[in-house]
Amino acid sequence: MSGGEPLGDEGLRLWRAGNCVACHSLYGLGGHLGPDLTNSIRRRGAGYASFVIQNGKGAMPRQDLKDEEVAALVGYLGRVNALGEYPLREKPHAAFGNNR
Amino acid sequence: MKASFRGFFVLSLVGFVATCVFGVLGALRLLVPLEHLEFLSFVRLRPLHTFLAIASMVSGIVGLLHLALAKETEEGWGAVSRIQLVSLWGFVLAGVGTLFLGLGSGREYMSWSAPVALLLLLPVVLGFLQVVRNRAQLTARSPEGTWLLGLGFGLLGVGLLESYLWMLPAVGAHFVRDLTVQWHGIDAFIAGLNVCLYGASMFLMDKTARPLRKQTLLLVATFSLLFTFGHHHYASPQPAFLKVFAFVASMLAISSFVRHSRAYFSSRATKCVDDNGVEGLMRSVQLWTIVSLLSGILFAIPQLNVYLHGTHLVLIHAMGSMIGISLIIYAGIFKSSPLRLSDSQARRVRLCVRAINLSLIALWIALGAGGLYKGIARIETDYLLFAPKLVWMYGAFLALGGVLAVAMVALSVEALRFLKRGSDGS
Repeated sequence: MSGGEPLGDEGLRLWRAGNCVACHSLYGLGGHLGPDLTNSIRRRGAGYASFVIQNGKGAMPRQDLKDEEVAALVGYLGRVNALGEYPLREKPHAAFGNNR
Repeated sequence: MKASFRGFFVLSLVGFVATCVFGVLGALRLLVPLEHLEFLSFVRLRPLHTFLAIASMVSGIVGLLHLALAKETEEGWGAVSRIQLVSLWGFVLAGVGTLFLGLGSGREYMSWSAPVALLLLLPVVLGFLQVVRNRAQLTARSPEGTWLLGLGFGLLGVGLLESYLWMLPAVGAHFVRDLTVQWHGIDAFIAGLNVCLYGASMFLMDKTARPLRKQTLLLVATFSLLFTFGHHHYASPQPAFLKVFAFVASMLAISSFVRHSRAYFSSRATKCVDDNGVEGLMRSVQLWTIVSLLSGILFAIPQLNVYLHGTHLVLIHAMGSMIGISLIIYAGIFKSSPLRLSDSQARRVRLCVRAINLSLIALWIALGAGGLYKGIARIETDYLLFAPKLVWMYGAFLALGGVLAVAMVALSVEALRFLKRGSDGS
């Protein structure tokens, strides 16, 4: 993670209110049923995320959200995505990880 | 039997049974859509399962503290224990109610809302004060047990408070700060559960006080547990010397437990009578302590952590650790009365413990294999490609978790019957 800009309130509020953490993780913290969503926007794009939220996919049920709420949630995931990468592709070299 | 600890043990056992029920329902939801049962959605079941597990463990820990206090100070059913028990029942009922209504915090593990958290904080703070107030009597029996109980209750309080710092805008609206504090809060709280249980176990096993370790070592451990991430976060940008300290500190309670349990087992080696099931339970605790220790060391290696962090392998590491050491609560229950288990009861207890151990070992293998595969596949390929290949793991999770749940429920029923016998006989 490179920094930590303050995140939009509405997307964060929806993330918590929907208890998304029951199935999804961010930076590995959360449930393991669904994929880790740290870089979901970078990998699949905002359109795909919006579609899955609105229509569901596999074990993920469709979410009963308004368009602007979906946009806020996707916006939140976009800001999380911009903060760093998870899981790391690069292995640390030092015995207890790389110190920054 | 002293009623002060009985009430906490009953709440703990009822909670463990409910934990198992919600756990099996959650595992069932992984495989069967059951879309018409929206009130039993996975999003609702998982926080209920983890919430009840935590509530049961805390209640059992407070019960173990009261058991130690009852034996050392003849402290009975006082106002403090009443407040603690009422508060814990309030925590369980309010937590279950609000989670069912979708009014939780929406956060990992600490899934209950802030007002509900106060009902947990109160008995924890009172527990810490009870250890401090009775430290002289408790220390005479087990210096290390007293020290660990005090540290454990302290960590529970600190972890709980940290877990609600997100309510401050300066933390909650800032992702990196929030994630950092959240990790640390969870680490401190879980460490508190473990340290309390290991500390309480020493009062169950020690016949004579064993000397306390060097104060410097204990102070380093306290400092490290308060200001680092233990053995959980090796990719964090903290200085290396802090990580080394943290690693040693996070293993201290475990090594203390192994030190005491080895002495307990060797002292019993010459005796032929079973210690009311306690020896078998403690051997299982030791087994899962060693498994957790070794896997914790392995997973803390950053080059492996890159692959394994956030996978089912870490999940089973946590499950094995938490379920394994929660057997200390059952050992406390069977040790809480001069009553003996009948031969048939003792057989059933042994059978339950064996089933718990075997199902946990099988879960370790299944989730371990699935987690390892996921850890590699998520880096090498795409989620949509590897996820369908993990469906078998959810089937194994339901089957083996079901056996584990049945064994835990059966053991809890035996413990409840034992408590009832003790209550009738007192």
